[in-house]
Amino acid sequence: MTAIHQLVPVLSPGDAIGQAVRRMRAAFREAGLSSEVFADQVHQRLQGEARPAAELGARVGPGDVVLYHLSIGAPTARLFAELGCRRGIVYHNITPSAYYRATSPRVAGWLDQGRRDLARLAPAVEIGVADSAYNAGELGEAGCPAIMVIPPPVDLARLDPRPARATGAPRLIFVSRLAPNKRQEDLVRILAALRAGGQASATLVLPGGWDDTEPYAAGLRRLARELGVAEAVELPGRCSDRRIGDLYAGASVAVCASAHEGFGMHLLEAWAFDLPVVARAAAAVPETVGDAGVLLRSDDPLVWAGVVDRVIRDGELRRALVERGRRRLLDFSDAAFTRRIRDLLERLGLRPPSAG
Amino acid sequence: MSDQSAAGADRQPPAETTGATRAGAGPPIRQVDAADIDASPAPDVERMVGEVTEEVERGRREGSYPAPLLAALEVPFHPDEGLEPPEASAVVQSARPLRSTRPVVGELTVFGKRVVRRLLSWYVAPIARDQTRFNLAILRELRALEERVTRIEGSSAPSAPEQGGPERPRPPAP
Repeated sequence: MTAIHQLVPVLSPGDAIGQAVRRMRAAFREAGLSSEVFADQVHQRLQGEARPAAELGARVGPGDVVLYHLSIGAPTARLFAELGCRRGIVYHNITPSAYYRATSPRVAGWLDQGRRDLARLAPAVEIGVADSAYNAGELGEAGCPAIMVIPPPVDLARLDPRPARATGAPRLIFVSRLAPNKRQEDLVRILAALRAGGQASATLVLPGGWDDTEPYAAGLRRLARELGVAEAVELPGRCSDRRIGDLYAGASVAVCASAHEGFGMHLLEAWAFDLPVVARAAAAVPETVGDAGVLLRSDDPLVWAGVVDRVIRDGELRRALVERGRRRLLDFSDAAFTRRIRDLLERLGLRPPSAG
Repeated sequence: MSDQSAAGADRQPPAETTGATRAGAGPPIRQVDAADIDASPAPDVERMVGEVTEEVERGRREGSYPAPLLAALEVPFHPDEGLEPPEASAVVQSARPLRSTRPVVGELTVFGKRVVRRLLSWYVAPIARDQTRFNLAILRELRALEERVTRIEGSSAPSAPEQGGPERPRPPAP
């Protein structure tokens, strides 16, 4: 039986790549193909879900396909480069290392390695799969000969979505790891401007880990103190799915000031909770948001605060944004993902048995 | 967003349900059909953003914002300030303080952890010592290198040209 396997440096339960890898494997198997995940490191909770990466070479034949998930530099890239089978890249984008050079040189080094891996591998593979057209553009520039855009599958049920509260003290939320490219410092400034501009009780919650970015997290706390909003900014760290769901349900507006996003999973999460979205028009965010949010090009915290204030006060605008969000979510449904995976298999000539 | 090649994009029709489920991942959450969603009048978001931007610009021009607020919003953000020197984390501790705030179970837990730690110390402590030795050795070399670079930079700093000094080398003639 022809096999389509996946290779990933690290398999983790909570991150978007871990979710995508496991959902893709399920889709490949549903299509009647043999499919395994190979990883260099596997999170304790997922032991048994993946085989050691070192075994991959011995397990594939010339007609098999291996997809490599690329988001950062890793020793597994070399292993992938040496495989003698058909190969593809699933590209989740690589954050520009400049964002990390000052605070996390170790991460910056691996990001630079990731860019070198992309440049070396992209021209050598048969196909590239990108989370977004933005990522597809980078794959194309790197010389990838054929590219398909497949937005990552999103398991929102784990968050137990329900409509967020629309009344009470305004609460802004942005769920992502604390990292310089996410620009959480801008959100702290926006909160300060919002509170000074008539929403004195507004608060901001920023759930997300800072394993590799401790100095950045410390800088955020310092900035919040300097702006006099330390009491209104909550940094709960890495949270469980249940806690994330509760935080979304207790929020009133989802904000995103990221300067670099390869897709923006948190946008879909916000829509699942009927939250209006206000986001910076940068990287892949505009294509993910479509018309289902307010996109801002301005860097001025006063402009952001003014827009967020309108979204809070203007019930009609808020309702329209929520409805657009619900509609936009349909484009990222599980059925749509399955259809796109079938297209990928067809393109690779791996037709599911039922399709003839 | 839809499937598309890098060169072009063709939107696909919306799919049937929200992206909240996956096979074997439990019951579906809040099923939403396109027909269930109101076709509300489109708010002019662009116009709203334009209005707010104009209001802010006007406010800035007319001095409507308190100066302390504007100054506060300009406070620079330097996350790399106040970083600990690498020496602060060079020494690896194999035993950390054990605490628990839980009334009865807490004491038992702490005791259990102490026992496990003591039993494993023969294995963990030498590794921590080796790592510390390596960290300190690297730091020593790094500091020596830093000193050397500083010395070289100091000696090659440009000085004011002296009158009658040696003639500067000229580029080769074309």
